[in-house]
Amino acid sequence: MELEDMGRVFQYLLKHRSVEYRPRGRRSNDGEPDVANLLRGSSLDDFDQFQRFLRPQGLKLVEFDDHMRGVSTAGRAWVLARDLDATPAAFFSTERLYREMRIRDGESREALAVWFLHIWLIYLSLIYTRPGRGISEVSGYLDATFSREVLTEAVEEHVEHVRNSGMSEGAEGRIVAILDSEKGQDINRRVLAFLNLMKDAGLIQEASAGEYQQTLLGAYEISEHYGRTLKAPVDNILQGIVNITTPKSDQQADKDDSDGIN
Amino acid sequence: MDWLTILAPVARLVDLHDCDRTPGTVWNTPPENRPGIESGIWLSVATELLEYLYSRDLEVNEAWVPLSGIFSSLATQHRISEPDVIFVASYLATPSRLTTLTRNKDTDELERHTTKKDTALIEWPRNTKARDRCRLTAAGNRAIQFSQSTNNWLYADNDAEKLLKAVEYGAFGDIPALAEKTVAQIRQFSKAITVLLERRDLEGLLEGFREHKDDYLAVLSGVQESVQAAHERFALAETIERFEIWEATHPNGFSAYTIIKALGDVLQAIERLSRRFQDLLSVLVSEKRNVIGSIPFDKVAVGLAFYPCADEIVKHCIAQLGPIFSEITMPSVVDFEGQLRRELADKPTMSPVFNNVAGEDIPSPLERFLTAYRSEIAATLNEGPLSLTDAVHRGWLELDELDTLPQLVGIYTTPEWLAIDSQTIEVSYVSGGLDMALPGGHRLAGDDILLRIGDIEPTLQGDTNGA
Repeated sequence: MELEDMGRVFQYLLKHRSVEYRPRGRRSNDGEPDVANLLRGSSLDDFDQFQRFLRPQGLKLVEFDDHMRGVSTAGRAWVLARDLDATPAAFFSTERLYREMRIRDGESREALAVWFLHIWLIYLSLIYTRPGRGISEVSGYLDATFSREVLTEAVEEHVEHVRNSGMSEGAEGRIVAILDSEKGQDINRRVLAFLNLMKDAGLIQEASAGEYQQTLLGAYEISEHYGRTLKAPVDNILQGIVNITTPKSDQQADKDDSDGIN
Repeated sequence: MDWLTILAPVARLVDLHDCDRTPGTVWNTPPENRPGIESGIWLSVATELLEYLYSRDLEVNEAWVPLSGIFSSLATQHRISEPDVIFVASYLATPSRLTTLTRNKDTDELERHTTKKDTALIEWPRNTKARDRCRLTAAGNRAIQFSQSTNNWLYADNDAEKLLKAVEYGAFGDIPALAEKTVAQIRQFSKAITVLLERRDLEGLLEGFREHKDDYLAVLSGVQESVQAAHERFALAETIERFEIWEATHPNGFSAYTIIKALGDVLQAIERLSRRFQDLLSVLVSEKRNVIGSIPFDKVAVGLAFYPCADEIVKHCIAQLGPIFSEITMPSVVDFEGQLRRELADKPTMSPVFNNVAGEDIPSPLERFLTAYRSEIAATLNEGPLSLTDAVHRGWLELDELDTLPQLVGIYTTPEWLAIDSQTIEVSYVSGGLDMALPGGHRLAGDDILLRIGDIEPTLQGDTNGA
């Protein structure tokens, strides 16, 4: 791989985060076939050299072949994942998250982070908890589908649940106040902002209007990084709360009866 | 596919499962008047749907198979509508409640066991109400496999042996298809291993693997040896000679390259499979079980209201796992290429050229006007003078809803448009002679204009701004 090829691949990956040779079910992006061909044609040495270029920037390139679900026959896919063993590059930022989650002036960064975190966890519950999928099940990304409507409903139920039970059971007033402040179309707008952020960062994709699916990159990063990110706070919370109920817990009595004729 | 082979044994078992006879009472031979319309249509739709889902799944390797691809063929074949197909699909997606008696190993007593688990043949996508796509469940896949009388990885070495035989017997035409079938089996097996590696808590499956480990390894090396042998055999001078004869007699056959590539693909697939198999074996041996299972994220979200996270932790999690964006503009190589080209070009070699080719296809209003009325106007002029009032009365004011007043007045100012050869046309006006109403509430008033064929040079006598 020549240096200019490396530059071409890198700038494409920075924007799209993943490349697929012969993608199925979607059209190739502009420039994607060229980048995929460069990666396909690169030797092991080239690939190694490219990895060495990426590592100091806190990144790594991961390759998948057609033994991974969802990769087309004889196709290949590459994702630009974060490498937690290296310091992330300074040009990566989460500022956009705060800009786009804000739906009215004067909202504190804390409130925006709270909203994001809650919607994020509800999103994770849809694609991991509900189908009983483990964190390490990368190939489950193909089934990790959900509609905007369902995510919005789940967030609404969650907020309603915190509002009703939270205060009486001794929840943190500040958090309840943030979630309680929503009115009208607020949740709808925040969920849309969340989906757009996740989509633009390459962690989910819009399969059709209003229907989303986790990407291979999204599933790979969760399986690789969960243990060093969300795991600690999640375990902490789970240890603290043994008897907390969720809006769904009473509906999950008999999982096998679901679906079928309706 | 032979569905009768499944139905024949299963139908009677289902009969007995549903039998309402109590022990000790009299019994009759089972009645054969089954409920329903007995046209066979719904069974036929169901099996076709299952086969379609199976073949599409092999082709596309995606999460869900859209139903749109089979609606029209089923609809025309059975004269049914889309909701009828959805009805069949929903039926197949409904789990069956099955009751069995199993022996308890500890007490050695028969125990009644009722389950609905893994009994539906197809499934719909989760978290949406859309019913436009579905896929086979494990039970559905098994049904297909039974109907094909077992197509299992343990039989794969037979297929690989067929590859070797095909080379040996010179059945070169079969090789690409056989190779493709073998690769498909390898991929399927490999995917099953991936699932196991990702979910090491699947004890039952792991147990099955542990039990058959040696068989699988034997198959793996068997396949590899057969394909390797086929590959080597194909390179022998004697085989190449036979292939050349075959190639000459099969003008639409394959090239030697296609066959070598097909065999190479199988070898590559086996190599990747054996790597994955090694991973699995090391897991089986090490008994490592440090896999993070399912996390109740919804519960955690509620818990966050009780045990909020420190800001720093939230920031860390988002930066490492959430959406991030490169915020500074990264130059692209393409940007510089554009600059370079501009620098290299001393002066533009091309200047803008007005391209009116596209417009030439459509006649202009003037062309349409002249095509329609020119000969009529010329004939009238040959008989005598023609005033604008007269021309308007003759209906030359419009043409197929096109207002041609500008064109009509135009020939009074530029009589050359009429192209009447070897004759001069004289233009004059009649003071105040024009006063008429036009459609659309407009009026023409002022001096009337007159055209006449004369002997002298045309002279313009007065202005023509009568309109």
